[in-house]
Amino acid sequence: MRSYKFSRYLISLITITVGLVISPQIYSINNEVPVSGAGAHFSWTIMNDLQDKLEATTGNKIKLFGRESMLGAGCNAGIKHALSKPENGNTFGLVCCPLSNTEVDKKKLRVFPLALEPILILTHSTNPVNDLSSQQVRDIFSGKITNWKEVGGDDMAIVVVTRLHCKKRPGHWKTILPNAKAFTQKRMNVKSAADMVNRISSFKGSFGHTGSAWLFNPDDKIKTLTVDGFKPTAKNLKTKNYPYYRQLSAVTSLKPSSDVLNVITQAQKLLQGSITAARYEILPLGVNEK
Amino acid sequence: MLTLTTYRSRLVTYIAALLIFLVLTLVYSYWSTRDTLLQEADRSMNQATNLLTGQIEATRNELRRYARIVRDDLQVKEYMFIVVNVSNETDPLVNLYQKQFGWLPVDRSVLLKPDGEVLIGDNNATFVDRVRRHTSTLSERTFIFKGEQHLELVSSTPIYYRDELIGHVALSYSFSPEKLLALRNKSGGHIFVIEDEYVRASTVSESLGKRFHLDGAHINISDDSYRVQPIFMPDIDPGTPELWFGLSENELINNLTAQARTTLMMIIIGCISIISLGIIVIRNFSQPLSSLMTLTEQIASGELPQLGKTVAKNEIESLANQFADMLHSLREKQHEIDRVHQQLEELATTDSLTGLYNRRYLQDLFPKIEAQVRRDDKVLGVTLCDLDNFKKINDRYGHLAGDECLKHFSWLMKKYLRENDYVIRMGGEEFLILSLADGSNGHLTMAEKIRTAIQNDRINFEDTEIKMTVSCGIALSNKQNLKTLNVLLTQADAALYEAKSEGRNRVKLSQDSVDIFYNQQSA
Repeated sequence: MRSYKFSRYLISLITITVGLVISPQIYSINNEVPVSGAGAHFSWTIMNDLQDKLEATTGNKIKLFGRESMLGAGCNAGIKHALSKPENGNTFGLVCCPLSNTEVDKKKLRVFPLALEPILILTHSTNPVNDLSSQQVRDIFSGKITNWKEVGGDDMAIVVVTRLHCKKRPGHWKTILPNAKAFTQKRMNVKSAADMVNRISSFKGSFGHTGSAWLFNPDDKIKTLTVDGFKPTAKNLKTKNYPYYRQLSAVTSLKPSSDVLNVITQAQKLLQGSITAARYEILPLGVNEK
Repeated sequence: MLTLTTYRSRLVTYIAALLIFLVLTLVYSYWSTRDTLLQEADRSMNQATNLLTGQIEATRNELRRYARIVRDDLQVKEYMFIVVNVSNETDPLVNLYQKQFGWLPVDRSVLLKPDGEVLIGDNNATFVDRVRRHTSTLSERTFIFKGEQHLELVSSTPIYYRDELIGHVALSYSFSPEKLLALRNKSGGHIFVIEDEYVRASTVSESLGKRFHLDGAHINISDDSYRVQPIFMPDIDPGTPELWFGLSENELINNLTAQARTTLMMIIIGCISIISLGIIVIRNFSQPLSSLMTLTEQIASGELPQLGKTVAKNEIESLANQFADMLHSLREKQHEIDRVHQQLEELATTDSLTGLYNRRYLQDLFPKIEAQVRRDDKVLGVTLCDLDNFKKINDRYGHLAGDECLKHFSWLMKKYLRENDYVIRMGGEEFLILSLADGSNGHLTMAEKIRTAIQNDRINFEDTEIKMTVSCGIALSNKQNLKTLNVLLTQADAALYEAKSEGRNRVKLSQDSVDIFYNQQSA
């Protein structure tokens, strides 16, 4: 009986001691509000690549929602996330299109351009055509050219696949054709970049587009065409030899936290001459705000 | 009129009644079941037909649902749009369809261009032709038609993309014999596919190619008769064979036969069980009871048979043991009665004072003696002895002394007589000796010995010596001159009277026995 009471006291003592030791740690963990970002895949890819370095340089814990999450994917999702916690301003969004001034003002956003991303012109990997002129690209997308034979390829109908998202925002696919109506109606318009890759891989006569920051799978039957003899690279963007591109940006509320600003600024800095920029052939835009 | 007086007969009657009840119950059960089976056959016909109709309807709805799934798939629509409007590259569509809808449980599937050209799917000409005919209406359709091999249920629906008709999807479910068999397994019975009054397909292989001639609601195929009923099929194309459901009457009869066999088997088993039970009951109850009854009858008839006791295991054995105890008790009582009876008999035939036979015994004894005379050709001597002046002895010495004299004389006679001689006290001081001898001399000699013995004897009574003499009269009888007891007693009495008259203490032969005496003397 005495032994049982002693054991009970001992267990109570150990529990209280352990509690006293770990409670400050639990408190500190709970108290730490990480900087979180979400949004368009292409911008997410860049931030994801930089995450470790960003956390090291800023001392902030960063949570990213993108390709593998329900929160990520899409410019609108990015903007929504940036505005999701106005009380602490610790969130930012990722967008793959330049935002119009109207939208920025209306939604009370701050935009931090990260880089320019070439828009890749894609076809099936078995297609013998490797290069098109920028006009041929536009003619194909507009439906003026409907057979690969017309551009030096096989006698095969061209299956146009488009992803004409963010229609009210400038830039992006509008660097190819100014509006959706200019694209041929005899096309497939997909909802996601993944669908785009899937469609291009399916049809041998396919023709489509996506950003260079897309993470292709090895079994994708995809080939990137050169335009006017230029590859979709940062260098060709900088020299303006490659015509199709878009702007990847981070967005915040009007009053982002200092941590968020620090993270975004560091990202802009880190992109300069980074491996990430080289890997995805994106053109960093330096530390700036629109 | 049967009377149930014994338990055995009652038991047999009860068992017989039970058997009759069992047989009647089972026979009634058989006939009820038979009626129920026949009624159930009709009911199950309707149910099965409804079930089959319902299954066909369910298959139709399922097929329609699948067609809508294909119709509403955006990717398929896009691919079809491209194939119809842009490129004749159908492989991506085929691959997509296989990937997306290869799992659909249908027998045929086809995607048609608006002009009816097959994009992907089954190239079966009949099927495609029939689908084309129905898709011309540009609306969702389900229909049944006769395919090249089997009846086919088809659901087709147009596919629109961006408000433009880009083709049709048609899915079919074929009623192959295997599927008919599956339908039949769900509903029981048989299914017939009838075209132009001939059986084109059926779950009854013998019926294939046979004429489907309706006789009321029956058809006869081979040696079997079937109750048949059509299965309603919606949206059936003209000229398409019909589906009929049938129940084999042979199978029904087989079921009834099986039921009858079962009933018969139950009757046999029930009868055997009841009879066995009856035998066991009779053996264990009635038989011991009968034995006890036989025993009781023996007892009633005066017998007291031996009955061994056993270790009682039941009431009847206990009763038998009680009977054994009762018998033992009765035997003891009987022995007691016999002994008393013997005593009474002895008392009735014996003189209590002298221990000699009394006169009553003479009546029983004489016929035996007479028979012996007749049989052995002996001479019977009847000697009547009377103590002389016995009254004076009584008067002088008292009755006790007289009694002592009588007892002494009796003892003396027994002493001098042979074993086969009889001495009877006739009353008072008068005694009768019956003796048998080969000749007549012995009788007189024997009487003389007695007379002499008593004459020479003295009787001591209370320190007084009493002297006595006796007179004897003898009558003789033999085979040739057989006399009755009365005659002999009369003659012996006459001789005694003569002896008394001549002065007592002497032996006299009856004058009527002189002839016998002389004739038998030499013997």
